[in-house]
Amino acid sequence: MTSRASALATLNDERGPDADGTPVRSPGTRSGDSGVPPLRAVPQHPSGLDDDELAAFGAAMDRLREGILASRGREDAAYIHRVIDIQRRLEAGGRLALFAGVFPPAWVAGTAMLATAKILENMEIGHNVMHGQWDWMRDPEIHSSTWEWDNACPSEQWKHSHNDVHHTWTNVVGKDRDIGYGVLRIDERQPWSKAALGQPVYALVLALLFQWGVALHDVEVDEVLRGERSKEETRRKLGQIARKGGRQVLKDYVLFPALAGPFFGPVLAGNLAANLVRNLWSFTIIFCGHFPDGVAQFTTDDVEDETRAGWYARQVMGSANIEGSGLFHVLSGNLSHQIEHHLFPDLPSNRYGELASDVRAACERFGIPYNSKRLSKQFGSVLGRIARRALPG
Amino acid sequence: MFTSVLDRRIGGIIDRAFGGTAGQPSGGMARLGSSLSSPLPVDAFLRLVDPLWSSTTCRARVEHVQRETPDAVTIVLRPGRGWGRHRPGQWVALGVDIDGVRHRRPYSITSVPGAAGGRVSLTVQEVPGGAVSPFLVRRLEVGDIVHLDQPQGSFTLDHGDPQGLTGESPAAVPTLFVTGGSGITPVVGIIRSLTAGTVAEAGTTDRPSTIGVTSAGSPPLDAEPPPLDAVLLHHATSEERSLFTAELRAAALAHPGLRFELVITGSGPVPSELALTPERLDTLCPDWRDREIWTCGPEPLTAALQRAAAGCTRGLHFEEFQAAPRAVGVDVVSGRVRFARSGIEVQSDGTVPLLQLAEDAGLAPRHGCRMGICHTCVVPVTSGATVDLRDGHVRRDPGDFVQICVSAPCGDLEIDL
Ligand SMILES: Cc1cc2nc3c(=O)[nH]c(=O)nc-3n(C[C@H](O)[C@H](O)[C@H](O)COP(=O)(O)OP(=O)(O)OC[C@H]3O[C@@H](n4cnc5c(N)ncnc54)[C@H](O)[C@@H]3O)c2cc1C
Ligand code: FES
Repeated sequence: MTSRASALATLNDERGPDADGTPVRSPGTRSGDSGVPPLRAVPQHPSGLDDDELAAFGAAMDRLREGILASRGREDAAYIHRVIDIQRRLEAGGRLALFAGVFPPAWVAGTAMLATAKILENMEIGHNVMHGQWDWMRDPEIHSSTWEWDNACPSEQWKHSHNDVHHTWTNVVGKDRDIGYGVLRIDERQPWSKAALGQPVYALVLALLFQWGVALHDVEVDEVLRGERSKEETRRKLGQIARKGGRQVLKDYVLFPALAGPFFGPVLAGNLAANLVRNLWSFTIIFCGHFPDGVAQFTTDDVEDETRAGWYARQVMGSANIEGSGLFHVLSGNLSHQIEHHLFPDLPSNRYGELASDVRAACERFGIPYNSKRLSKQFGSVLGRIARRALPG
Repeated sequence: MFTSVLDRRIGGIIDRAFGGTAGQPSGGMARLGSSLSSPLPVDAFLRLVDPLWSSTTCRARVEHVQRETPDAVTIVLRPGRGWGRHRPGQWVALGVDIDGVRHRRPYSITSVPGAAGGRVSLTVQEVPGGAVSPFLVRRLEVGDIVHLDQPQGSFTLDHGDPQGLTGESPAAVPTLFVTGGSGITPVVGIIRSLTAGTVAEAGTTDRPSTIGVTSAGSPPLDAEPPPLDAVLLHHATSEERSLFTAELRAAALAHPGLRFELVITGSGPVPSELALTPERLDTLCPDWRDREIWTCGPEPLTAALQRAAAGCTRGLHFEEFQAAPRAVGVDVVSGRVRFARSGIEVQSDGTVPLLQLAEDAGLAPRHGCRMGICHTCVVPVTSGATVDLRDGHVRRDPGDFVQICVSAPCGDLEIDL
């Protein structure tokens, strides 16, 4: 095994991974995961790395981040402008085609275009713009402070529940409300009750109505029921959701169908189908990013006094990548590079692909598990987990 | 030609449908439109047809880039919908994307109001090492899309009174313009409109005729030129680098009421015999005391004039292109700055304006001139003190609105950005 000193030396000079690629240490020392007892009494980071190793890993991640910041520029801006342009053309084209939706080919084409537009808007554009990935362009129209996405969830609430809560507390049980979205039991440390038996059905319903699940997410219904949220705050949030969701419903299910006059049926059906496809797709990508087997959940003890480096390591352990083609990555909002997204949530998404190989190499060197598999594997694993956790244990 | 006519037709139809030109759409169709395009503005889709479409900000296409001197160009723009008519002497904040990043800088408008085709021209002198002007002078291309705010500024002969209710026609007031370097730009805009119709007719200008010739709203071509009594005293480092020389000489020939005097100062410090003193003003323009004086140029020039022309009876007006150097004695207190809306925190050394700090942190605050004149950038401070970099004035009242382009934090600060 390479000594830590040489691993540090390798990291400190910029040549990249160890020539022989030997891991610094073996993976799998997460407490409670294997039989290896922690050697020290001081709380250890769940990655099993000691402080120096963690610091070196953190420094390596910081250098990757610096590299992207230094080279961010014209081509990246051109990329997001192009995606936005394509998205708007698809949306306009899809809606036009649906007006001719009595002809089945036009309906299929229109629905496919509209569904793709909604997927692009929510994932590669909206989600990433709201993360501030494009704020550096200083374009007030493509800015996290102004973007409102094509989704029932008000941007302001999304930015709180997602950017703030989920990205800070990634996979910390009891803190990260994205674990099972408050309805599913994903980790054995979440308490079991009889209600969990129905969770394969809940999962299906959540997937079908995902944008509404996301919309209600920040209201924290369970905490409201327990009286832990102020009535005023809850009322304000529900009001926002009603207005935003209302506008979405009005547009997709009333105005556009009405504009089609006698052909309102196909337009309504097309819009419903497009929203449904977007819901299923985003549910799939998001669940595959955090809940396949092998992805770690953490306890609040794990994150006590966590350093930035420790946070980095937790992001890797708490996320999973999905392998696929370039088009697949764009359509998943580059959340197929979930690990890189969690490490660097505000770097432009089009750069995650090139970061992935460096991140993976660093993780292998330090023995931090890096979970990356095909969509079918990851999704199968997620479904298996939802089913398993329906039962106690 | 045909496309522009067609454009205007389509524009007219869209205007009628979506309610008016600039500003917020109104009316039933507009509401329907924005409900259909929600959550995006209707613009987002109309722009697929016409990239200049915008109801919130104004976009413009670069139609022509003309080299004026080795380091200056005139940029001819065709603004889309939403451009308000300017008054001669005003400026506009021009937004351009350089390496993917939006930058905005103020530039004086050198074209006359209502120029043919609604075109607007700006003349930019390169400031070596600058972030924006070298790009505009060297890299801007025909067809590029840029962003404009509304015209602003009170360096206008009508004294901010566009209706001319003061009675006296601006042209009739005896005037002395004293300019230096690129500071000639607002003045050229003023002189072009005072002499509108006649200069371009004289055919001696090398400018595209669209700039000098007016259409609706300006004096018709065959009208008597208004009485004019203006002297322009322009300073440039060399004849080659002097802007608009040929055009101004021709204008002076065509207009008995206009005198143009070019002073070549050479690079480096201005020779003492050329420095602006009352005596020098007496030589160049004996009746300067009875003229309204307008000056625009480098700070040393405007400062010298201010000292020299203390005896002027009709008023002295300034335009400066560069924020005055940091006032001496300004409190410098470092601290943490928190941008409340975004939750971003940065360190401040007490000398960098809040606008700059915010931009460096990836925020994009609204702003115009970046030098404390337009008040586009004002933001309320939630807690803490700021110092005005121009005069050292410290503000400590929570809720106070500050101009972030010229205010630096004075210690820890939280601001509503
Ligand atoms: C109301 C107004 C009207 C203006 N109209 C014009 C115009 O018509 N034509 C024109 O060319 N410019 C005009 N300017 C100046 C212009 O807005 C920019 O400041 C200028 O082009 C420099 O920008 P930059 O990004 O290249 O330089 P920056 O990157 O902003 O500055 C680089 C360095 O140059 C210095 N600097 C900035 N501006 C100047 C300057 N004007 N002279 C000398 N040094 C400077 C800065 O202090 C800094 O050290 C106007 C400015 C104002 C406020
Ligand atoms: S930007 Fe004009 S006053 Fe600040």
